[in-house]
Amino acid sequence: MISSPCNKFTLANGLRVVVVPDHSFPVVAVSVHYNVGYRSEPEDRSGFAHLFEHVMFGGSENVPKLEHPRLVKATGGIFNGTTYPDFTRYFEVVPTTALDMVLFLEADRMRAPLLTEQELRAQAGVVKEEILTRVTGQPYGRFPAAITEVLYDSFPNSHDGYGDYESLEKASIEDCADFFDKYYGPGNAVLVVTGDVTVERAEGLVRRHFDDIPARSVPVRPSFDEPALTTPRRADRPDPLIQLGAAALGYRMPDPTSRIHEYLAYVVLADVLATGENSRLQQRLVHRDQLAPVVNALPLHQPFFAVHPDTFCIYAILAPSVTPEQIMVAVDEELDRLAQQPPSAMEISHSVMRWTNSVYTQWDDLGDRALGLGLFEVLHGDAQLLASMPARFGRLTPEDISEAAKALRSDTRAVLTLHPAGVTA
Amino acid sequence: MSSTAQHTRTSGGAPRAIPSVEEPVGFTLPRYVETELPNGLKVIVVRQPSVPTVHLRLMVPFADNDNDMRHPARVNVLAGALFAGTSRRDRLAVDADLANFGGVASAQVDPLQLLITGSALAPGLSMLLDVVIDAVTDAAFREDEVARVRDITAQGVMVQRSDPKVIAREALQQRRFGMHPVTRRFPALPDIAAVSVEELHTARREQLVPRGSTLLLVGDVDLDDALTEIERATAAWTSEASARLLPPLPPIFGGDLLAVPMPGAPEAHLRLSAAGVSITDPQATPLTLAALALGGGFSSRLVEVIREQLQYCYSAHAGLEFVTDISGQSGAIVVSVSTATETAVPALQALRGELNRFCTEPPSAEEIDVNRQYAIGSQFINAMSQSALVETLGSLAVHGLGVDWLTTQAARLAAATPEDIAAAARDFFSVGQFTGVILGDIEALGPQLAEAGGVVAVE
Repeated sequence: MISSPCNKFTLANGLRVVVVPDHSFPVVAVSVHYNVGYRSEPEDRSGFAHLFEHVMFGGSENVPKLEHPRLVKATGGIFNGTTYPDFTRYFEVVPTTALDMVLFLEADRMRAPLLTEQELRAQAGVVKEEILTRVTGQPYGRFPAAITEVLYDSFPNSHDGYGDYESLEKASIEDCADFFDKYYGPGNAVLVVTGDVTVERAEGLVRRHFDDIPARSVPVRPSFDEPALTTPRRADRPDPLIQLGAAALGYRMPDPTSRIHEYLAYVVLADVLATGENSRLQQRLVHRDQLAPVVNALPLHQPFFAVHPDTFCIYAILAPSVTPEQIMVAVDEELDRLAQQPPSAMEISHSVMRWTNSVYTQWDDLGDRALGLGLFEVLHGDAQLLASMPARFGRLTPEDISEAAKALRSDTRAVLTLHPAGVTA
Repeated sequence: MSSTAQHTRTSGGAPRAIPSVEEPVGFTLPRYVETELPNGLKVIVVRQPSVPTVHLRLMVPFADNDNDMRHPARVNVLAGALFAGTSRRDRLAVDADLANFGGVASAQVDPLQLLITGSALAPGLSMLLDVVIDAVTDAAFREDEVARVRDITAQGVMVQRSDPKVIAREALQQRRFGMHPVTRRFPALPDIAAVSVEELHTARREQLVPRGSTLLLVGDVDLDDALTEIERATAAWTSEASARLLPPLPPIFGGDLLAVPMPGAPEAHLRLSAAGVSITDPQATPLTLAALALGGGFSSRLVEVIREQLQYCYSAHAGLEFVTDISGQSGAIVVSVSTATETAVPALQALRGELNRFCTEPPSAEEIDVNRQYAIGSQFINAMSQSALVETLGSLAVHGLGVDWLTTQAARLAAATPEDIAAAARDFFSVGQFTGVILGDIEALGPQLAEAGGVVAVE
């Protein structure tokens, strides 16, 4: 079922379309993934891609402002948009009877979104509030994501996709028009339709609504690769809201598109390190040395959610009076142990079993399914990459995991620490 | 370019009409069985074989019915230590047994209940049940494990209570319910350190009981086989006692907002609450629709005005809460707005303005339509996947409501008249009926806040 028939076709204007029928429920999910994220925004327009995503909900040629939410809501459906480093996605989950309408809405704003000064300024105001709610006013806001500011030097890789107030103020309608023209053409997008619809009906509706969107040249994404660190780097930040400090260790990862096998070894390593009571860091940091109540390890942008370079991150909340150095020493020792002595087959099997459970759970949610198919098609050229995963995991050996552990060197990593800096009442 | 320039990047052409949407087809639940076992445990099993996994919820009412100030510490440590080993398994074996089937299980607790959630690949159903019921009936609470859980629990509380939104919720609870046990969500740190192994065993034996509790299972199962498995797994889980419910909640009275200072806070959090009705009250449905129209996401008044028009906030919400306590059921309305400190007072004024307008200009036919369709349709979309369905059924089971409540909700929503909804708007949403808190940098808000009126300072 994760390898359900996946029907793909491409319109003359370059729009890639993926259709996966599923008649279990009278519901459909639609996603649109544009192959641009905040790593592509100009250096003096930090936060622009996310701001533009907000503006895309402000109406289009035939859809007045506020109508998109109202129309989708009136069907009982849900919708959202999210900006990631390398793609921006929009989706809806609605009853089958609303498919025609939802495809119309997505096509209308792909063809001719309303770009007005008033809406741009209004959304800049909303984004400022969003930054307040999710970052400034949130304990551990942007942690551990801010590790990229320490691990990387280039603007694309190191900057914060939310932007700052100054850059949001500077955004102009001309910027919006340019960004839209360059990155939101049909040839730079993937449309997914999944759920209670036949391939024939889906193709008919898609062609009716999207065929006449004019083709535009497709931008080539430059490589974001940059040289790895040659010496370790450290940054420390105050957080006025927290009581317990935190430490994040960031490392480079293999290319998720061209070196999937090695990338997957890191994904399994993350589980061996920190998922479940039997994991190495839960045992060492949380129970044996009692250095942390919480420890996690993960690719920073969920597995496969970014093109190269992606970041491997180990992070922990520090128990009272514990220093980041204590965490770093313990992590290094555990990584060294794994480098010397590969993990057991059982540790790898547990990681694969849990991953399988989570993939099924994602597939079971129609909205998440549409998002997963779109992600893998737009970034990796294969909507059904997940179907190949069981075989790929099966080819991983304990030595592969050891190799990954060996590569997480203390002399080429970034460390970001947060310390409590509150006003005591 | 002039500031009124409008770019549409249109390729020209005649205006296009938005396609219409027909009535969606009705909602039928997958096959299920609902029963009560001899030990008093309510069981609901739903066969939903979309993917080869199973999802489980065990809900045990676990309230403090004795005004015991040490209850929160005890139950939080108990929840943290529940899966830390039994006489048959140590903590590592619990994890390994689950992981063999890609499974997870964990316990969390709040002032009302202990909630165990778990999932696994479908062949792991027996193991998942065995691990959960083993923990529930035979948790070992080993001294060394409990010592570690105390520390982790205390540090977890420190992390949670560093979130202003958590503090705002706590302040609201105390403002509307005083010293009632429902307000005591997080334990005091000294109380955590004082929790003994003996009292954990006692609490498990006396309160972690099947009578009054509900077990939900949704997934790729055979109904008969699953029920047999559950009966077998829970056969030894017996007790004369019933699971404990909260003492009766006091009624909510309107009053001034309490200004709760958080020096230097960049954000202010407005949290208002008024009396509602119980989930089974005939007015619950019109009140639900009214709350949606006021602040149920996009296309609600609060979001369209306070967020989109005024840009005073990123999140503004109005919704209903329901509680089942020992005397029966009650409900409340909660309205939340989080805003920058500079816009806190204007946001408060705007919120009061919208509440007033809600009473004098109740939801229009168009507003009702959008929200009614949303309520009917989203309930269905919220019950499709295995994990969504188990969560939806769980939220009803805590009020003693079964599957039939879910299947009849669409009819109730369709039957609510515009007059009912307008009456609900007028009768429940006037500013004077609300009490609440404003948490933030009160000193920075200064005289502006006093001028706004209806706000009192913390003593």
